[in-house]
Amino acid sequence: MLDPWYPPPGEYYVPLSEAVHYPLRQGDLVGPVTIDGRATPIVQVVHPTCELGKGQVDRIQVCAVEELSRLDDDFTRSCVVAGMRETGGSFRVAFAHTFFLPGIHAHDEGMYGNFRRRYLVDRAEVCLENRSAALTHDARVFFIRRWIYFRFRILLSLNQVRGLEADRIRADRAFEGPRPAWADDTNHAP
Amino acid sequence: MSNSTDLNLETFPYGKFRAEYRHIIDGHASQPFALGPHGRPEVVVVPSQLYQGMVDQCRRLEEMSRTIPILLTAAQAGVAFPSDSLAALGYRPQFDATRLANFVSHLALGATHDEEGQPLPESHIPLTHEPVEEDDLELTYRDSIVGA
Repeated sequence: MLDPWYPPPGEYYVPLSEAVHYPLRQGDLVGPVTIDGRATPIVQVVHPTCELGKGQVDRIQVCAVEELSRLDDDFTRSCVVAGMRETGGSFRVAFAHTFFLPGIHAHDEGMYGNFRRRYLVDRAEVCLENRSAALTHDARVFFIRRWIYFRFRILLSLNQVRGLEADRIRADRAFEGPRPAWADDTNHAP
Repeated sequence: MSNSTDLNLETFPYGKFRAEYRHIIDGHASQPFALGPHGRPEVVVVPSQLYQGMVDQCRRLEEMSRTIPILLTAAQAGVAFPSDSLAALGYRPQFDATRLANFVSHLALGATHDEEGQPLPESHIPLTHEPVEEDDLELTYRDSIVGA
C-alpha cells in the first residue's frame, strides 16, 4: 500500500478565518478542558461527529494531545511524525496509537493525539467557542484511517476511506458547513 | 593434491575427494572448497551453516532493495526518516518535525508490516457506504429519577 499516514503539515487545519463556518467534528482540537479535576490545554475529539449534537450525550470522548518534545529522543519523535519506521528492510507501522498533529501556530512544536489515553469530558467544554483548531476534511480522512487501524487493525487505503466518507457526506441531509470537493453532489468519483 | 584458484578456494580433484571426503569435509568445517579436474573448480562445496548465512544475507539484500531507494531519498533530502538501516550507517540528521512530515506526506510510501513485523493485510473489498437513517431513540434506565 502506497498511502502515507499523514497529510502535509500545511493541510491539517482549517484557516482560522474560515473555521467559523465549520461545525465541531471528530478530530478537532479543543481546550482547555477539565480532566480529573485539572485543566488540560488541548485534547482531540474522537467522539463520532453525529453524536456531538445529541442532547443526551453529556460527556464527549476525547484523547490526550501530547507534545513531541515530551518524548525521550529524536528517533521516537521521528517515528511518531512518520507513523512508521524502516527496520530490516521493511516499513513497519510505528506507534499505531498515535496521530501526528503539527503545531497549530507556525511557531508551535508538533504534537500527537494519543489514542490510548482517552477521557470523557463535559460537553459544555467541548464546544465551538473552546475549539483550538478544526481539522480539514482531507485531514479527517487520514485521521479516520489511522483510528480504524488502531481500533480494529483493519488497514484501508486512503481512497477507500475517502470514498466511504464522501458517500456518507452525500447521504447526510444534516451536513453543515463547506463540503469537500470530493464529496460534492456532482462529483461521484472521489 | 589440491590447488588454489581464481576463486581463492582450495580445489580438489574428484578422485581425491572420493577417497578422502571425510577428512576434506572435516578440514573445511567453516569454509568452502571446490571440486574439479586439474585445479579448475567446477563445483563449490559450502558448509551448511555458511550456506544458511548466505541465504539470510541474500534475503536481507532483497528486502533492502525495496527500501533503499526511499532511504536514499531521505538521506539526500537530509530528513530524519526513522530507519534502523540508516542509523546503522551512522546517518543521524537533525530532527525537524515539519521537514520530516512534509517529506513522508509526499512520498508514495506506506507501511508494509505491522508493529510486530507481520505483513499488513490489504483490503481489496470494494467498499460502498450504505445510507441508513438513524433512529432518535435513546436508552432509558429503570433506576432513572422520574422527572430528572
